[in-house]
Amino acid sequence: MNDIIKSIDLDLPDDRLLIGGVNLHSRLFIGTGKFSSHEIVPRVLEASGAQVVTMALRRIDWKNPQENILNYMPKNALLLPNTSGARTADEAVRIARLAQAAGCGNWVKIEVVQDQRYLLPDNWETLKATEQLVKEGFVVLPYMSPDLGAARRLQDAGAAAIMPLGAPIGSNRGLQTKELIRILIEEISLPIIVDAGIGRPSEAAEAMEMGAAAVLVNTAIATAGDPVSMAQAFRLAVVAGRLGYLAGPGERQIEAAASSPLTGFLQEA
Amino acid sequence: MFYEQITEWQQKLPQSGWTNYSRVDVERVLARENLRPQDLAILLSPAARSYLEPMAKRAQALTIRNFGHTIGLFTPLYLANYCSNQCVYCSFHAGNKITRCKLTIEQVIKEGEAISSTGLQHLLLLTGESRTQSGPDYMEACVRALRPMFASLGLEVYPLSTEEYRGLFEAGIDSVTLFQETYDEITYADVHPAGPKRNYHYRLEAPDRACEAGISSVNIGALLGLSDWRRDAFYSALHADYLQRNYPSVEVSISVPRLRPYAGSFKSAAAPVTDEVLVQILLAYRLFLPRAGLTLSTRESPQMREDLLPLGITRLSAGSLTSVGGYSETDNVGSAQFEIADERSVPDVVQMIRAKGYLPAFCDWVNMRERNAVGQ
Amino acid sequence: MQVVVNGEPQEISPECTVFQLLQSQGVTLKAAVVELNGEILKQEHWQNTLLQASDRLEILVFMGGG
Repeated sequence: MNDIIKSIDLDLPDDRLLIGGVNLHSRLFIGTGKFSSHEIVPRVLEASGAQVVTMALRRIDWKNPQENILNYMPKNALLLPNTSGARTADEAVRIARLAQAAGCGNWVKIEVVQDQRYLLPDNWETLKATEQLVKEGFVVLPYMSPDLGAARRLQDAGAAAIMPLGAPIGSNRGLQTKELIRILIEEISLPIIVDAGIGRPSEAAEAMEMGAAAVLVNTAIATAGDPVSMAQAFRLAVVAGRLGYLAGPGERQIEAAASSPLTGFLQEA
Repeated sequence: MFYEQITEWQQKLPQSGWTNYSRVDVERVLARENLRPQDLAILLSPAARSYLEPMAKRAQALTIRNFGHTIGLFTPLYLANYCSNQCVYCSFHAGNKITRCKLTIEQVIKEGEAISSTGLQHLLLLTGESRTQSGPDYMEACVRALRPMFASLGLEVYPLSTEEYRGLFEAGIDSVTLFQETYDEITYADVHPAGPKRNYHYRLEAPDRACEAGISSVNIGALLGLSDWRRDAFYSALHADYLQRNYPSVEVSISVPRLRPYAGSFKSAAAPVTDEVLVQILLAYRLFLPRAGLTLSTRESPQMREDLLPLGITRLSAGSLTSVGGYSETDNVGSAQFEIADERSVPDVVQMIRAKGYLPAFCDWVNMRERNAVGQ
Repeated sequence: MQVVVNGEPQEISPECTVFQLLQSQGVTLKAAVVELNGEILKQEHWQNTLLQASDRLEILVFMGGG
């Protein structure tokens, strides 16, 4: 299996995704949470072909000092620390600054959640954090609930992309917010990166076919029976969906009109 | 600004004939949900001519889904026809010997009362381009006089500055109509040999200024037949799309005026806009812009208006006059701008709309901003 | 003397630098982040910053996250 996949050329050199001045070759972003161990992460990343990888900042646990996940990142990974844990804009800003001070680059995914039941993001706090962090020179990717008005404001505030959720974090329920995401893709000129809720490779392909710029997948891979194979599947799905989008949808049967009730008057000269 | 899109598409659009698109291209477009500019071009191409019926079915369904069966009614009131421009296609041309006049405020009120007694609640105010005779102050005075009588007032005059639009918005205008006439700069210069209207860019950017000033609805379009209709229709729709995207809270609509007989001798060199072409343009507009209004004036004959109604129209003028005044028994009747083809009275137009299965709306929208008493 | 580390009180010897505290706990120094009394303390200052009684430290590292 691995040999077959290796022999397929999955690179689309003319289709780079430009964010924050970087030309990304992979439209699959990977989250590193929920894995059984840190050791599996490098193999998952390699199988996924991903370039952008997210991680969280947490207090070190003296009792069980785990190794820093950064030790498991490939050299060329683009680190996207998230502000998970933040409940307010101030907390998100603080976490972003800490991540940057830790040498994580200046990309940040803003994740501000006050709702502990569904883990739905708070758009207002997210906007405030975006405004502040853009001012401080960060490349800001806000995770948000797909609302066109909020997305417009985030765009105006200088966000580098918009990350609407497909379904609540960890739910693996697919594109529950499909229509709202479609509207964002239509109306917002920033890259739209579907984040959260994608449970299957087909759902990632679906998002890409709609015109999403990229997808972020975490739970679906981390909790799969075989995360490395699942990462490969997602890699293929994202490329397939993207190619399908670029190729244009196929023709559908147009009903033959035996009579012309609406435009027949043009014939009566 | 929108001009950048015109420049971008100048190169991309076919140079002539538009015969590079095929039936397969049209079918692919009709299979899509959300059309892009390249799809609009395909719908305006010769290949789409054999698909008017499927386009019409889809346009009708889309219009009913987004607008219901409502057809908004309005009428124009020409306040003055003094004009310093020399547009070759218009009877108000500065060189034409026509009766020039402008309504006094008392006359404006009388006209307003006559129109309002027909039940019409949406009034469109027009003037020729003359800052001395019909400048923004004069317009504002007319607006304040008419405000108490109508649910909303629109303005179709020469391009104004943002400040001037704001002043008129404060006075009671909530919609602005402004036709670019043609988006082709060369033809534009040819048909506007003299006068302030020669300024193509100032006119092109006027809808932006109106939106920035707070106007809540804009109506644009090209005068079809002045220049290559495919390009003008393409840019008109693209312009509407641009306004919708950049001013999301503004309602955008397009009109489809065709060149009509007038007092003068202008004959356009461009291909004529036949009835079939007009239908194709209307349908392409509707499919590309599912939520834009489509306005039809009385330039078209009664039969044509009836036939076009189910194809996506959302607003009709009724009982119109394009002379200055004339609705009441006022002495001041200046010459008309163009010949009206549908001279039916408001009740007759209403009956026609109902007969086609649509619902005429005399009052679609009420401007709730402070309304002053007459004369204040 | 006592300082607070990650919300927990901790006894340390006087004249202890931030660097020494981290080292004593076996913290892998690469990409740990230290916040001292609400301000980020850059790595280059760890060796020459002496801790005072009642100092509040946050020591953070990157973990897996989505």
